[in-house]
Amino acid sequence: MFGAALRELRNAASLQGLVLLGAGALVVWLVSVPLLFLLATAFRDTTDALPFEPGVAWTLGNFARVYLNPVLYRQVLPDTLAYTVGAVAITMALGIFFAWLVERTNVPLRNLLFIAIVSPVIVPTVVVAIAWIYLLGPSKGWVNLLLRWLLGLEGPGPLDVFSVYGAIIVQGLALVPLSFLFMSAAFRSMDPALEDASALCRARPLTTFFRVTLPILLPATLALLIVVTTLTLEGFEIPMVVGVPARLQILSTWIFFAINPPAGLPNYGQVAAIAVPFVLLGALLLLLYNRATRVAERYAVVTGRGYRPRRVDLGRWRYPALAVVLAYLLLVLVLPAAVMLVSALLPAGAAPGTAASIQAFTNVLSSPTTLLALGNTVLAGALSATIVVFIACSVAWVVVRTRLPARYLLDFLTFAPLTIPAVITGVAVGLLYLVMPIGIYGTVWILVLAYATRMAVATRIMRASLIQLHRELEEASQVSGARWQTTVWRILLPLLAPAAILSWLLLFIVSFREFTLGMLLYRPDNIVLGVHIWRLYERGSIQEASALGFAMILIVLAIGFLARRFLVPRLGEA
Amino acid sequence: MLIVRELRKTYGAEAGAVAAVRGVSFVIEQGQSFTLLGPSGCGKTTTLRCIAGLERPQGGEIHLDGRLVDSAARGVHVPPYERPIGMVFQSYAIWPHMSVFENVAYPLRVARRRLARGEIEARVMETLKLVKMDALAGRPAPQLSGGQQQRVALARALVSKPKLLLLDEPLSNLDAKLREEMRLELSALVRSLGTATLYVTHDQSEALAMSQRVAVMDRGAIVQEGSPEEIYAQPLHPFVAGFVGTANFFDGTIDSEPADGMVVVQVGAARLTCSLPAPAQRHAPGSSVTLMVRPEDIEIGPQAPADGANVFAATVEEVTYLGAALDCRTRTAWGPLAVRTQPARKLIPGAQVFVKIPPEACHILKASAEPPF
Repeated sequence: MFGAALRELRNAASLQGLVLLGAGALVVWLVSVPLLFLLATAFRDTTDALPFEPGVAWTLGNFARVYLNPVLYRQVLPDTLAYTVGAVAITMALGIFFAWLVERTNVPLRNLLFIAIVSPVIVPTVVVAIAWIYLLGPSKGWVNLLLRWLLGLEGPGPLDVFSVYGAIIVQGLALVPLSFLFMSAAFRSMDPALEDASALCRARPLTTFFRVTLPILLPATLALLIVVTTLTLEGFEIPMVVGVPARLQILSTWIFFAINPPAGLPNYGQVAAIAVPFVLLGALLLLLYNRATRVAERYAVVTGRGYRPRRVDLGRWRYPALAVVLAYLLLVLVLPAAVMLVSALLPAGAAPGTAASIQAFTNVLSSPTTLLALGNTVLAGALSATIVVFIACSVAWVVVRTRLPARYLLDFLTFAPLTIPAVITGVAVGLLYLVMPIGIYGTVWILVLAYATRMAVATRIMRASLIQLHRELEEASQVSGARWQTTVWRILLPLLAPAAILSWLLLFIVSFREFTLGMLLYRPDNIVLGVHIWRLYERGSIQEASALGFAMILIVLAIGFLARRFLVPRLGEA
Repeated sequence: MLIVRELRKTYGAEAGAVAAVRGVSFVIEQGQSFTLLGPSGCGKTTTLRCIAGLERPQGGEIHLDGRLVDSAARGVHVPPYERPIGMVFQSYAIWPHMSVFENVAYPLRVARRRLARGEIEARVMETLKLVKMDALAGRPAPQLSGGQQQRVALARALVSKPKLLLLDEPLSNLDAKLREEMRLELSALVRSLGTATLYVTHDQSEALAMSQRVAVMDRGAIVQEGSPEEIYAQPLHPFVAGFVGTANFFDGTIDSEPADGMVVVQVGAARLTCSLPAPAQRHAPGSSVTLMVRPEDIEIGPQAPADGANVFAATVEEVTYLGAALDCRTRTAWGPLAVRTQPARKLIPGAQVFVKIPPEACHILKASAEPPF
């Protein structure tokens, strides 16, 4: 065993070893160092001091003060529970229903519906939240104006987005594209022959659904439930934009306000104490998720010969079903975009007949803050995407191609950040670089490092891609006389390129949506687009905020469209 | 050319360790073709991969072209890209992002001693001509059929003029007709080039047809090594007899002293006259042995033949028509007997027949059921 370790070390001294060790070190640095730092801070008494200043003592007092605080139990936890349960219920119900409609029934326009249901994911959440306020705001929201006119009501309402219900609905709808995508993949990976076999055993369709379809889909559904719950729990944009005015105080906003107190130095120890159980909960959810996906994978059958499931004939319900989906799309796609556009063109509360003007567009798009924000967003996005793709490729190779025992740890570390709320990642990263003498706190570089923790999805994409490449392709290269570097350059990289580029684009697009990390690490110098829109909105520049929001929708749509046009055909070849 | 001595390879940790290769030794001379034959899991592919340098053995030595390339004891392991070998993988491993030409040119392009562009082109086209793929040199790899991919893989393995050619189940992915064609072409090509060749396969007809020496492997060790004729006609062990071709096995007791190279064996109620493998081995009367008879060596007919040695009455139980032959399952008084004969015989289930087992076709194998290690 010792001999094997020595041999591994000698291998490591080669170029291959250096690259892989470098990637591994990067993962450990980006993920575990901030977290360990956070964990340590939770035990430091940081009243009026930084956690590692001289004279600061170790203490358990932070935990006491946080967990004996009545506010936690009277407001934060109940609010968080209500918010999470409600939103998750909506997300799961709609996601499963739409996936079933599109994958298992004969509802018309299925392909178009698929694209349409998934597309809202491209819009930054903060823009979505603001659009909802324009739609459902109690006094001037469009939907309320319409309802008041239809039903002859007076005064504010009838619907108020600034309520628990409002926040739940907005959050629930926000994750439907994800749950839909997940469930339709699950429906698709189910061998239709299983349901056919049930039919041949004389079971009626409903019986087949409950005795065969549902049980087989259960692991995948559970996995999705865990992901959705995690994402909802850690959600920050919607609780911030919609929840706070509604006097909702959930965990993520509580942490945010703890780290941004109205006066004085934040008590980092206490913030860390709040965060610690969150991280443990995240680790638990991660384990559950792994269990659930492993079972789900065993049930999934990749049917190579054309997917042809038994589709339920909806009969006379075909068009009503289509109408339901179209109504949903109207609500989450068309209306928000429209309301953004209109709010940009017309001043708020303008009387009908006021001339539309693009002044807001020109103002905001030429403002130096906007240009700075755009520059920061692009820089942070591009650089972090590049770092993550490098890490993803290296880790995928170590996990798939080597038999090193450390590979499970590496894989775990790349996946873990997914279950750590962005709020906590922001706090951890901010804290680390506040204390460390490298002067990147408050600059765009700290954003690069924070964004780069999002390596879970990219690693999984590269891993799936690498698994499909038979290892004999690399071995043939070795036997033909090529060293490791040559094999990587001439064989691996060209074959992995499509997946790598796709990952890069996904990461880049997602960083455009980034709000939470930007807010938590905000300093005037590193402002990003999401934060910029929020600040404009907060200080009342509604038109400019809307103009920028609409412009962002267009930019992200353009990137997505170009990617689809130029990449997807190339991916199809590979 | 290739010397493998006491090769050992184990997978996995202490408790669940799997000994894939347990002390395998053999030699391949210059220009010789050699096959490792055995069922899945017997260790033949692992042995091949150790010779290629893709796996590191835990014990034993490998010498290639006079140079020690693997020795765990002396800490020597020459990586694959420094061994003078060419390998055809079971999946062919043709790189999809390159053309036929580029696939075959690859070994020349990545070699330490780079050749001139014109030289590379000449060599590649020359090798492609050998495998009859020169007309398709510009074709992108994903557009090749299975058979074409195999030829390209072969060309790629040969272009750098290796000292040893390794082929991992080269014909298993081809359909039956193509397999027969390629069998001839492959062995003719390899013979004309004079390259030492190691095949690994589970198909015994491939092994017998394509190589000059065959080593039958089971559970990590070589059970018998010899020429194809020796392996087939003089198997020393029930495993070899059963794996290479089909066989009838009987347990019996020696009933007489050997005379004229024959001995009588008591099987149940019957007495069979059997030949002893040369050189005659000492088998004392009373010792238990296993007899082996090949179905195609047994004569079968409605009447008893004049020569009375080893003639028995039998009933035909089942007949399977194979086109070129007729497989019959018969039953004698002392046990079942599988017989292969010509379809013209027109035997039907229930028929009463006579079978004759020529004494030379009645082989005595090692009595023990365990492999010899």
